[in-house]
Parts: sequence; C-alpha cells; structure tokens
Amino acid sequence: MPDPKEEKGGEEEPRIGVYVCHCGLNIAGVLDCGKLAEYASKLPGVVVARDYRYMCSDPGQALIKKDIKEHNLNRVVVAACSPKMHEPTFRRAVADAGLNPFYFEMANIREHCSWCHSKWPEEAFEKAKDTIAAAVAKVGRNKPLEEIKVPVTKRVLIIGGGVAGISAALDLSDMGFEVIMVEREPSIGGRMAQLDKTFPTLDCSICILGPLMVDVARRPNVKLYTYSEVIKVDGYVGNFKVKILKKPRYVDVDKCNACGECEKVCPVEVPNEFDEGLGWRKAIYIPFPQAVPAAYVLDEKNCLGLTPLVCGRCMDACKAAGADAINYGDRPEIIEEEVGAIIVATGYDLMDVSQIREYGYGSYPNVVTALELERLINAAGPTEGHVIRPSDGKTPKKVAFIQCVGSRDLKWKDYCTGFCCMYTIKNAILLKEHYPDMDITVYYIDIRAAGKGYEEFYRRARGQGIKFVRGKPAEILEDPDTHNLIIVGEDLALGRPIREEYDMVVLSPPAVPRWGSDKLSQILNIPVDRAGFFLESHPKLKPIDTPTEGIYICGAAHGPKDIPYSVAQASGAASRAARILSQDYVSIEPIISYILPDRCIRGINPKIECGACARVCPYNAIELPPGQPARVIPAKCHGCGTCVAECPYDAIIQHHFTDEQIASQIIEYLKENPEEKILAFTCNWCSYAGADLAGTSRYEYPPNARLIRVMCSGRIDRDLVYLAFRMGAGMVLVSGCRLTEFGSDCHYISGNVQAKRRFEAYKRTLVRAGLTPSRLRLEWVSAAEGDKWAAIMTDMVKELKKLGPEKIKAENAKLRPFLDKMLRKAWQIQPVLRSFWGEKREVVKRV
Amino acid sequence: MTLKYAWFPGCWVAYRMPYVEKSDRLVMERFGIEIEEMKGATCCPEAQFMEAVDRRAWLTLAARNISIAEGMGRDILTPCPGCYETLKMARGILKEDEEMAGIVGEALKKIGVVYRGTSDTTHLAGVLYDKVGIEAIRKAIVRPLTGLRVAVHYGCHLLRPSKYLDFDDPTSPRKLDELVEATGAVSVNYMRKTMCCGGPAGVVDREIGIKILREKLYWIKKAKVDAIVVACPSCYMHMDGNQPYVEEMFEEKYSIPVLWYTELLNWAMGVDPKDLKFYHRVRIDPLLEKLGLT
Amino acid sequence: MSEAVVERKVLQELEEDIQRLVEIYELERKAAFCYQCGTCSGSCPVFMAEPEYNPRKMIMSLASGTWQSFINSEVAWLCAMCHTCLERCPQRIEVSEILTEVRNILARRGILPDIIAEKLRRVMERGMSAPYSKLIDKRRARYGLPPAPVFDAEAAKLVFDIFAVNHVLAAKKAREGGGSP
Repeated sequence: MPDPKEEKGGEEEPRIGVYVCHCGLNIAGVLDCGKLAEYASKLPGVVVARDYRYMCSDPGQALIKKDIKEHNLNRVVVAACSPKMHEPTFRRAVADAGLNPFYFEMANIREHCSWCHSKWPEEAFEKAKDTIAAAVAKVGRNKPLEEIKVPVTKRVLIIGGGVAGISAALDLSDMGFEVIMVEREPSIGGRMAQLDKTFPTLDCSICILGPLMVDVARRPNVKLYTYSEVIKVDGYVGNFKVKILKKPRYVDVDKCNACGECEKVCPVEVPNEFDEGLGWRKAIYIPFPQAVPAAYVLDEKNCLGLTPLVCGRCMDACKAAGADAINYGDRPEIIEEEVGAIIVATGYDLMDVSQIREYGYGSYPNVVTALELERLINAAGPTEGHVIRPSDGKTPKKVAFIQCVGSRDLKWKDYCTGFCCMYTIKNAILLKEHYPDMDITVYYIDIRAAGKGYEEFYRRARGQGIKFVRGKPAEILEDPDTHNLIIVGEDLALGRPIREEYDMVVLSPPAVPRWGSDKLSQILNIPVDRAGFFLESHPKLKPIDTPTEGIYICGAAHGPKDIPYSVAQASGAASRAARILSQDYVSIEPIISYILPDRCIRGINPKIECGACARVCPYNAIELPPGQPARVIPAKCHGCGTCVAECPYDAIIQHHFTDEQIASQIIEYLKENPEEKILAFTCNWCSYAGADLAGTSRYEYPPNARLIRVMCSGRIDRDLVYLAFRMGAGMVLVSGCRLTEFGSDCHYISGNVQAKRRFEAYKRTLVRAGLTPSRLRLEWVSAAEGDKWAAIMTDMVKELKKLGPEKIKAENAKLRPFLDKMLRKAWQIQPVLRSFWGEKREVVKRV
Repeated sequence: MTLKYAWFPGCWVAYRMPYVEKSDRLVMERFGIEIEEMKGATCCPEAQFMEAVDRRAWLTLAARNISIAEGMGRDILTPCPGCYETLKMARGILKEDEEMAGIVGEALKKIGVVYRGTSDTTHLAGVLYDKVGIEAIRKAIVRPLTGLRVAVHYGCHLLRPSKYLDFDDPTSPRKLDELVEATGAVSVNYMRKTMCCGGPAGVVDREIGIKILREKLYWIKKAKVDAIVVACPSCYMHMDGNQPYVEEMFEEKYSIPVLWYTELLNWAMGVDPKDLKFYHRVRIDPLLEKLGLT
Repeated sequence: MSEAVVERKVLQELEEDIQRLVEIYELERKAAFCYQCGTCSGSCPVFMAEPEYNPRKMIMSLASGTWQSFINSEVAWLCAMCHTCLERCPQRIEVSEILTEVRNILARRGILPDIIAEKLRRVMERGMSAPYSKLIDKRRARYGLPPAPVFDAEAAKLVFDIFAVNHVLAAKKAREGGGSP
C-alpha cells in the first residue's frame, strides 16, 4: 500500500480567479456582489474577479473554465452557497478545465451571510469580504491532491447465517463474487429456523428457509464455516484480512450422514438450546432436522470425556454404522481469509425477562416467552406441536398474551422491538386454529401493524374471536395451588380494573443484540448505538453502511426487525458490498493525515515510543512499526485530523486542512477589528451544517462570527486557538458534533471527545494567563440544530458587546507574551506568521 | 462495635405504641446500638398530610429535624418507615432540586436553623441487617422459633420511591425475611407481597382501606402462615386492628396474628412475650401455645 | 387570627395560588411523556378498591391540559402514597409525586379531607400528627421507657406561618361554611 506521493506542485505563484455568485436575489438581495468582486480583485494573487447571477449553472461554470484557459488561472474561489451544497459541482468543473480539483475553495456567503444577516447589511458585507479573503488566502496554500486507489479483493465475508446473512450471500454469489460465511452455531438458519409459521402469510418458516439454506451451502463460490467465529479483522476496504476460529465439532461433516446412531447411545442429556430449554438433547446432537450442514456436533462441554476411556459410545456406534465420522482428536483451527468487504448479519437475542419481577417469569411455571411458545406450537418441537402448561402438561383453555414486557420501558429497553405485535397476533391465530375453543386475550399498549398485509392480519385475528384489551397488566399473580395466573391491570377502554384468571400467559420480551456483539464491534471497529445494535452511518440516507468503509450491516444486527425488512436490507447490503467488489480499485479521498517521517519522534529517537496519534485514532489507522516513525495507513484513514492535533511534536499534517492553511484563514479573518469578531471552528458534519441550517431556515443573528471549517472538532489544535487570540479575536468558539452522557454523535466516532479534553486543558491555561472565561466557548451543535446555532451566536455577541473592545484589547495585551511563547513552538505555521508579521516580530522563531 | 445514633421515634411510636419502642430498645441494647434522644423535634412530618398540603413546609420541617441530629453529630435512627421515608426523601430532594433548596433555605434562615444535609437516616431493621449482621443475630438466638411460618410484609415506605431510599431492593427485598429467618422461623412467599396494606388510604376512606387489606389477607391466607410480621407502625395498626372489618365486609375468616419484627426477635432471644406487653387485637395466645411460649 | 388578617392573607395566597397554577405547566410538561399504558392504575391499590380514583386519568388530564376536571373534588386525596405507580411507570413519570403537587394546589383551594385538616391542627397544637394524651408518660413508664419527647409546636407553627399553611384551613372552612374566603 503506497504512501501518497510527496506533492509536486503547489509551489508556483497562485493565479486566482474569484467568482461572486448572486444566486438570484438570495445573495444579491443583501450583498452588493459587484462591490465584493471589486474587493476581491484587489486581494493578493487574484488575477480575475467577477460576479454572476448563477455560478453553478452551465454558463456560470463555463465562465470559470474559460477564465482558467485564457488567464492561466491555477486557483479558483467561488463565493456563493455552502460547500456542502456545490463543492463537488465546482471541483468537477475546474477538473474539466484541467486544474486539480483541490485547487478550488468556496466562500460561504449565502447560508452563513446573506440568508441570516439581512438585518445587518453593512456588517454582513464586511463578513462577506472577510470570508472571501480567507478563502483566497487558503486556496493560495492548497496543494494538488490525487485520489488514492487501492486494489480490491473480490470476496466478501458474511458474519451470521440467519435469513439476512443467507439472503445477502445468495445475492452476492449470484453476482459472481466469492462468499465466505461464518456462523457461530453448528448450523445456519438463525432465529427463522426456530419459528413455526411466519406472519402475515402463515408460511411454515423452515419450509421457506430450508431451500435457501441448502442452496447457499451447495454453491461452488460459497465457503461455509459453521461452528466458527471471527476473532480478528485487519486491513481496510478492499483488503480485509480476517482470522476465523473454527471450533472442533469432533464430527467430520463430509463423512457424517446424520443417521443418528450416535445420539441413540449417548448417555448425556442436557436442555436443548434450540428449544429454548424446553426440551432435551444429547451431548452429540444435530441442532434440528433441517440443519445445514446436515451433520452432528459433539458438545465437548457436556460430553463425558472425549475419550474411549470414559465413554466412546458414539464413536463405536458411528463405526458400526459404517460412517466412522467421529474423531475425538479434532482441534480448534485458525483460518485466514482475505476479503474486500464484510457484511454483519449477527441477528438478535431476547432479553431475559425474569428480571421483571412483576410478571414472575422464571418463578411461575406457566408464564412463558413468545419464543418458548413458538417451540411448543412447532410440530418439530419438544411437545410435537401440543401446547401444554409446563406445570401439569395439560392443554391451557384460557391464555393471555402481554405485549411490551420490557420494551418501550425506560427501566429496561426504551425502544419498541417492533415485531412482537405481529408475532403475537400470529401466535394467537395459530392457537385458535389448533384449539378453536381456547379463550385468548392480548393485552397491549399499542398494536403496531404497519407492514404490508399486517393490519389485515390483525383484523383477521379479531374476526376469529381473539380479544384485544388496551391496558398493560401491572402484575401477574399466581395461585399457589393451581398455578393459574391472575392478571391485574386497568382496562383502558372501560376505565375499570382488570382481574382475570388464565391458565397460561405468554410474554413478548425485548429483542436485544446477539450476545458477543460488543466484542465483534471492537474486532471490526464499528460503533454500536445506545442499545448495543450496530450503528449505521446515517439513519435516513445510509442505513446499511457503517463508518468503516467496506463494512455493512443488515438484519436484526442493525436493529430489531421482521423477516421482510431483514431480507430487503440484506439485499441492500449485498448491493453496497458489490459496489466495492465490482471495481478493480477503490478510490479513497486524499483528505487524510500524513505523518512526516523526519519529524516523528519515533524516527528521531527510536527509544521513545510515543504513539499518541495511534491512541486517539478512532479507526486504528496508524501503525507503529517498532523503532520507526508512525505511519498512517491511507485506506484506513477517514480524515478527521484528530491525530494532527494530538501529536506533541507537530509531526502530522492533514492534507487540505494543514495548520498552515487554517492559520492563513485565521489571520485573514482577524486582520481588522478582531475584538468585534468571534472566530468559530466548526466541524464539517455537524456544526458547520448546523450553521448552514440556521441560514437555510432564515434564523437571523448578528454577523460577528467568522467560520473556519474543519472536518472534525478533533482537528482543532490548541496552537490555532492561541493564534486566534494572538490576532486579537474577541471570542473563540469551538463547535463539534453532539457529545452527551448518552454518547457521541461524532462523525468520526470520538473526535469530539478529544476536542473536549483538549479544550478543557487549554482553556484552563488561557484563563490562568488572564483570559475572561466567557471569551472561549465549547458547544455541541448537530446538523439539525440551526436554531441552536443562531441562539449561541446571539448569546455570544451579547456577551461580546458586554465585555467591550477596550477590555478585550487590554486583556489581549496581557496575553500576548504567553501566546507569543507558545506560538514560537508551532513550527508548521511559522511561514504564515512570517508573511504576516515579517521577520521582526518575536513570535517568529529564528530557524 | 459501637453504633451511635440520634433516636427519632416518630410521634406514633412515641405517643401511641410504647410497646414497639420498648421492644426496639431491648433489641438495641442487646446489640450495642446506642441512642440519644433528639430535643425539640417535630413530627417528621408525615408525607400523607404534610407533603400533600405544602411540599415546601414538608421539606422545611424535615430539614429542621435533620439539622437537630447534625447538631448532635449523629445519623438518625428511626423505628418508623414513614419517618424514614420523609427524612431520606427530604435530604435527597434538597440535594438535587436547587430551586426547592433555595426556598427551604430561606425559610430555615427565618427560623434560625442551619441545615447542611450531613446526617443520614436509617431504619432500625437496616442497622440490624447491615451493621449488626445476620450472623451476630443468629448467635443471640436462644429459643429458635422452629416451625413458625410467617408472611413478611415490608410495607411501602421502606422500599419506595427507590430513587431516594436505600434499605433494600424494591421489587425483591430480602433483608426483613432474613432477619426473621435468623430466629428460626420460615418466611413464606406470597402474592402481592410488596403491595401496600392500605393503611393511609383507610385513614381518608375507611372502606377503601378495608378493601385493600382484604387483598393482602387473601393472598397471605393462601400461603398458609401462622402470622404476619411487619416493621411499620401504620401497617401494624391497620393489619392488626382492621381484620374484623375485612371479615365482616367480605364474609371471610382471617384472624391472622400480626407481630412486630423485633417482637419476634425478642421472643427468640429469650424474652417472655408477656413482658413485652404488645397490644394485639388479633389474639396471639393460640400462636404462643403452638410455639410453647406460654 | 382576626378576620381582616385572614382576608388579607387570603388575597395574598390567591396570588400565590395563581403562581402555583403556573407551576402546573411544569406538571403538564412532566406528565407529557405518558403514553397511557395503564401500568400506574393497574398497580394502584386504591384504584383496585375504588375505580373512580384513577391515577392514569389524572396524569392524562394534566398532560392534555384538562386538569380542571378533577381540581374541584376530593377524589385526589384517596391516594395511599404507596409510590408503586412511580416505581413501575415505564416512562419514569413520578406519578405519585406529581399527584402530591396537585394536592398542594387542591389544599390551597381548601379542598382536603377532614382528617388531613385535623392532622394539620394537631401539628400546630402539639407539633405532631398523632393524637396527644396527657397520660402518655405514665403509660411509657409502665414499659420502662423515659418520658415521651416533647415536640416543638412553636417551631411547627412558625414554619406553617412562613408558608401560610393556616390559610389552607381557612380556605377549607370558607368552602364548607358557604361564605366567600
């Protein structure tokens, strides 16, 4: 994996073209675009400056391309809307004209100016001027960057062999890609294999799943590892290296023909997990009749001894039957595979509701969970499809279902599990069909039947005489003599207390992430949400991607869902993965970090390990080869810049967001009247977008802020904050993605956590040096919080005016010696400081 | 081990149930729990009438009571769960609700009281379980009450609101059961165990109190016990005093003796039941006979 | 306290009352999370015995701003304060505490049961809610107990004064006496 080339170019004199867009009246209605263009034309390096009605239109873009050719421009600035809107548009335009797209910058004078400062036209104009000047200063220091290409291994790993994993596997196999499926249980099939019938069609679950299971296993381009686990994942999109632990079955899958002779003679009986503990299995067993692979497995934990000295009966029986498939010498195996993409489809578990004491699950024998009922109804289950009361084996005549036992409950799980209303209706209908005289009542808070055919299914249940009572029972009492259950609650429709006796009660527990999900999230380095389910990149527009490129999630692993949604999402994951696998190369945006090998302390003094950068990297994208400088793995780097700010030796740069580039923006912004300005560092994904939204929503606030866009609040180096105050900024705001006690919304997982930590440290230092604390603020503004941004701005300006320019100037003078001392150490920004202050000022280090 | 507390008996135990105080004091003496009386206290005040009439006055009077113990440099020990709840909740609420703390602080200033929130409050059962310990109690038993089946009733105010109280787990409490079983008796599980006995409801509406009590007695009777054991004066008065009305209204027979938990402890530690002079409306002679304690 | 003083205090309290009503908007906000599951009423021992007392309905009234429906009756005082509703609410609504604050407002209007008023009087008189008996010390002596603690009624009265708790009793009397407060 090659490093990005040392940039060639970027050293020539900038010849900048500036284009001020009217955007109809959106900008021109508040700002005099002609005058802005005139101002721009006088800025250093600007060769041509124009204003035009709609820069993003074809003629607008043509203007730029024409000027690039005619005036030999090598940099372009468009002052218009937010870069989140049209940066890609203009980058393509300049690329078409032969210019490197990273020689382009946007000045946001719409969302951040004309749309939110119309009440202050003069100040808005000044802000627009500053914004353009800052963009011009930055673009002059931009370097040409090339997208990085990495080759792709055209194989995919699917973790989990339930209906989601199987669906994704079949899709990808059809597309011609090699599939490696890893399933922890001895057979694939997952939860769907345990079910009896599925809603709303009452299909036999294993009958529709079985053929898919067989299909996926027999395909030549699918490698199936069952009874196996993924234990390590290294690498990056297109090039993952996976270590799989294959647990010993002690049965040769190829030789075993599932005759069952071993099972007959095994002396050990333990509760059967597949039957939710309601039935028994032997120590050597096949999980269920339709298991794939159709082979037995020996459970070594319960086996008497794995040696003929202790038992050995199964081995003898198998030999006698002619298969000789049992081998006590089987050992765990580590298998290494290389894949280009990974799909996580690990499914769900049900929460243990014995903790919810009010319902007596675990103490009252006749209170069961829905999945236990599923196994009782199932003809292949422990009671051959006869639903019986666990206490006495009799058929219950009166049954109650209770919904939301632990779901939608802040004491347990605050979310709605989503498929329990439907499976309860289905189970009620099945019971009615088996036992037409059974008295069935469903107690609920709300019935959620939103899918296709679901409401009709609910109606069918009511039509069959199944009663639905709105009112969640407060508790279940058990008659100690009969083990009957008495439900106590309120019938909301009638406003009356409920006190009803039942033979059996079925509870709907919350779905929770499959056990081991937390470990897997660390192995894959993908985050989980508050409930522990794997977290998608964007809840609306990217519900299948994860923040780690190349890893996708589908099915209940992403969040509880029913079978149709799981299957659809699985196909979506297959498609997302195919995007990568179908290419020979994957392009990586070059806005990544680069560690200067002759500046990294590990290279200068191999005895010093440091490793601060690697510690804060949310993606494990920095490798620390012993005795050598640290190195960013380009394909793993997501470009947050958190390492840049962390390095105590200033040895890291982030392409396109270097300290030098940002410093030039700071200086431009604060050249004039800095005491009246608020220098705001905003993160691209949340705060900058939040500020955009404030403009889009036309929330008005005074135009004192000057915004600097960084990819992540974790990028903000303390030196940049010091520079802002050294330039005399009235106030400095650091703003990032939301960080609350519930977790972090940071686009780069934990950048904001580092930002907060550093902020607290340098704020303490600055306050001690004499800074009024209110002049330095940390805020969390999400992309949806435009009103919050406007409120923060209004509040800060009020505070700023209260302090007054005189007091600020006096304070700045007091801070100067300390700031100069600190800035002397910031070697990366010395060129910028020198060009502003000249050689004479003490701030410049004598190199 | 010296355990020193400021004793807050509460007005009901001090003025209406001296047998409860006597029994508790015997146990405290036995296990080295030293108490000092609080001078100038008032009603805790009882939440049912005070918190419900004016929350600020409730918190102020409670804080004032706590400040007396602060002046003594001791934590508060009380036999009454009602007082336990009031004093615990007041301390908790004043810690987290700044606005309320301000209002109460102003009022306390007017009456010349300084409240710091440094004294905690425990119920005697809590001290016996957590500080004295089951082992020590078992060692003190000379006359095990073998064969005695009891239904332990915790009442409401030892357990809820669990946010402010720390006596025991609110949905599966064990401490009183273990204290009772230390005597050799068996604590039998029964339905509606953590349900309110209906005492305070009965104070406002007699019939409602009786109906609620019937639900408790119905399930206790099904569990086939010899007695009910309580640790709250209000539960004691209601469950012992109102069984005849339950029997009348529902035409069911109960007459289940109600015992105070330290009464049971004292029996097992060799004290003659006659000497405790407990007032029992439901006669306990048959029970004493069964246990051979006559 | 003279009639004139009571009247002046009454007007002052009406103002406080209205301020308290503003507080009820906080109660509305606190109750707004209720999704009408029925766990509180289902757990309530009083509801079991007397369905007219329904904590769920009261919370719903608060959340929907129709609390006036029960603000004029004594029904809310049937609460046993067992806090089971508060413990079990899946939305962590502090049902019993909210209803306690509602009772504060009812009390200001003079709506409270006789026995509660009686207890207030006892506290003002003797500093405690249990009925007093002058034979108590003798009775305690028979148990070998020291004399009963003397409760500080003066202190209680002072605190009652600060918060004008006596107005509650006056308001109740006015309500039942038929005259205007």
